[in-house]
Amino acid sequence: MLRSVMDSILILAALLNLAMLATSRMAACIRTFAVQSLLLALLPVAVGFSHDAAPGVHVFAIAAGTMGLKVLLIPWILLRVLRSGEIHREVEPFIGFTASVLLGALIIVASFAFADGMPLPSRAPTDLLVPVAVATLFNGLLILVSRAKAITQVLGYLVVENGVFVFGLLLLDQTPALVELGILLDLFVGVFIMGIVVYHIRREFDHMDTHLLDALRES
Amino acid sequence: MTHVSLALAVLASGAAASLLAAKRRRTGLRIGMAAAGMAGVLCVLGGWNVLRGGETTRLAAEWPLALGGARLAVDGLSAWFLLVIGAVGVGASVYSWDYFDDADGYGPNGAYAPLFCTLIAAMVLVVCAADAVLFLVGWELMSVSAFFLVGFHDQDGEARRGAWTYLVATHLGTALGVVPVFAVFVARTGGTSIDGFRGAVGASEVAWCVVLFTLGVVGFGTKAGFMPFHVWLPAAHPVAPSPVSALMSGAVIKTGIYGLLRLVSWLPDLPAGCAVGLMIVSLVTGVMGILYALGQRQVKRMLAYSSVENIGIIGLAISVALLGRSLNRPELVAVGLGGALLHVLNHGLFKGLLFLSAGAVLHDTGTGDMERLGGLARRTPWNALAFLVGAVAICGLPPLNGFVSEFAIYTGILQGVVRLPNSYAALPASCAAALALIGGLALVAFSKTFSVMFLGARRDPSLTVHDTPPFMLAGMLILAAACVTGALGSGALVAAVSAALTPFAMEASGKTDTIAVALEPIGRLLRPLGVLIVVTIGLLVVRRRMAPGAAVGGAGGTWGCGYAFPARTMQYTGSSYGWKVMRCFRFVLRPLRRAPSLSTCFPMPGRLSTVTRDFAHERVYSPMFTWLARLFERLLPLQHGRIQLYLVYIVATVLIVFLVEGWTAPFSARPRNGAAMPGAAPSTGDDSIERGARGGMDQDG
Repeated sequence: MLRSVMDSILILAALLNLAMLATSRMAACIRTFAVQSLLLALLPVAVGFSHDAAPGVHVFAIAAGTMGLKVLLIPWILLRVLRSGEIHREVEPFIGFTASVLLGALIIVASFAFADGMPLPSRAPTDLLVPVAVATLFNGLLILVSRAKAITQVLGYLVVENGVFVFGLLLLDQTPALVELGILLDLFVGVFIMGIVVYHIRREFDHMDTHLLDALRES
Repeated sequence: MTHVSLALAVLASGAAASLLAAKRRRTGLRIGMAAAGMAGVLCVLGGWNVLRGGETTRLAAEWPLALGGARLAVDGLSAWFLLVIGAVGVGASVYSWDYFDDADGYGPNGAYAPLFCTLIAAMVLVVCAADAVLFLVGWELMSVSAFFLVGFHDQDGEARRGAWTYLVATHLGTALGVVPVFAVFVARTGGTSIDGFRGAVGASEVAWCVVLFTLGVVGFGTKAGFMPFHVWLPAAHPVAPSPVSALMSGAVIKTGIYGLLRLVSWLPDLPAGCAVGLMIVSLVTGVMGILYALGQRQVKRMLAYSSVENIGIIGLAISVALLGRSLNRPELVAVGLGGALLHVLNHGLFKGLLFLSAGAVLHDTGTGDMERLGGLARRTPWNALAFLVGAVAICGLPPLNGFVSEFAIYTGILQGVVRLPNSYAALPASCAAALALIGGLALVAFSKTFSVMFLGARRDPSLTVHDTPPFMLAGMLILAAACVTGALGSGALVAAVSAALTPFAMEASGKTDTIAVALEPIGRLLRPLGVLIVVTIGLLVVRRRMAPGAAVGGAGGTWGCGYAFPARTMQYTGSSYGWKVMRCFRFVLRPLRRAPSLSTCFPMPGRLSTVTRDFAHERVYSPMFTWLARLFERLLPLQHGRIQLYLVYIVATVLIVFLVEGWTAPFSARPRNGAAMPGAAPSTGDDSIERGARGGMDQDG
């Protein structure tokens, strides 16, 4: 029963990656990310229950922290930047939406193939965990490289972090809660600063296209 | 040991306090310099205590990194270098108190004092570290803080170039020499504590010994300034603020010697070829260093080359000791290393003094170009006295400390001639000849420098001369007094230097008093000299009292060449004074000389110029780095400024690593042993590794 819950959460998360790649509206993209984070926030609890009947407090702490931060606070900050920045609300990809989705699907297939050969420190609670983690990580990287605007870069970085988070579940009962919470704090500070930076980029240059930053290169 | 930890604490708090006070620059500078001075005194006291007590003291503390440990140990050798660092540090920090008032037109930005404190603390760490990682941390901290200090006047392109040259040179040395040496030892012993390094390489592994020694000479020799690696000294020393030059030349380059000696103490007896190799390198370093010094116009550049020369002298003494060690003559080890260490201390003192004095000249007149100076002795007599003391000491003339250490080195070399088997005796004999040549050339170089700057009449009448501020004088006088004390108290120093040889005690056991016996004549020589000094000073005072202000000489100028009405242009220039000697060595120096040809009875006005270029810089490094720069320019298109493509680079790298790992698994242990994957280890501790291992076995099952 727990196993099937975990599997369905993971599959949904993987599909949401594709949804993010396919969305052209930035606000929708951010909301999709929030939903993905919400699903993933449930995972530590499920994994904790699969390990033993009464899991420690720290799985709940992690779930609560993830929920508060990645589901509520960070999307809220990003949406606010979006609104206050009066940004054109389109995503502006370098790679078209269809091509992105196809690439994303390829990544998911490749991760399943690849996850088998991976040496792991401990046994995964479900067979889907590792492939989905790798897929999310690389989909995040795909968003990072293929989107022009600064705010989508932030989003890509967050998706990468989600992948790492899923991966971290492998070590759930070995990692001290303090480390996990520390990672969350880092994430929050990172997004906070990026939000400010994005806002200032727009104020200075009247746009948020990072590819125009190449004017700063050394020639 | 309390002294050392206290000194480190004082330096840290001094740096922090001066950063906090950075808004008020003068206050920040003075807080930092006071801390550095106090720490210097503590280092001297601590070093002296250990040298008198003769036992190693240790300190261990918590260390946050996975590799290495915070272990300090002060034995005789460390204590001796603490003495050097402390003494030069005190002089330079007192001097800095006033140096920045209006020096060069730049006030101190708040960074000087913290960097200065960091540099001293890093040197203390280097000489006291009992752990390979801590040593490398200190070594790197020293390089980087010195880099920022050298480039302190970064408005000046020359200063930036000097600082970069230093950084590149020292890092090449570290990467190609120092780190490999430590890597080999750590791999051999399986731990980073240097206590186990001795004996890690057996006497039968001759090839390893030679390789390690060569690496050490390259790595530590770059810091010290042995000849093919010396190029950073003449680039960095002249552009650094003068107290920093004093500290660099007096103490920083000595840490290279420290590293080399430490390495030698870990290695078993080396084959004689190593000693001969070091001897040849040192010979070239000494002779060429002083020859290049002779050809310089900038006083600080000249002093930098003279530092190269002195490193050569120290290297000669070390190589004689090594020769004695490999041919089983322990008394040579004691005398040779004793002489080297004495010269390390003494060179630190008088070269520090000379750099401070040259800095005062720079401060007072605004130029370090000797050919524009002259007659400064009248305007700034105390500074002239300080330079004179330093110059006499560096030429190895009695009654100052340079004489003591050069005498010790001569003793070592001559003992080598007597005691070594005939087939080897020629080597120390040629060393003695070279040392004599170096001494003579040093005399020419320094008599030129002193007389051109301080005697005669000012060559450039447009120069205005200011007074030397009191604290700068005080800093110089501290070092000058140390030079005199180092000579008069040489008995105590010689006794202390045998305590400094404890790391080498296993081969020189029971023979450590040989050095005291060998150097005994110095005491006999210096005692009457001490009396002579006192009498001379007394006579001078009496003369001042009896006939104040009466001139001694006639109307003609000192360097007036016999003319009754000399013009300033008739004086000897520095170049013309040195040309006689330069010409004898033109086959190695290759100076460029452009002289007008005098063909008619009434020649036209002409220009004469001589330029001496550094061979290693001109022929080796300059072409090599130009070529490298051209090579790397081809990579410039990779840096196009598009973030997304940069991310692609990263993703591609990660992917390649993943794929390689997935197919061939080079980074993980074979699953058959049930060993944990390396990836599981960080941040989780031993417990998780065990669990991970169990998990891995489960999976296999």
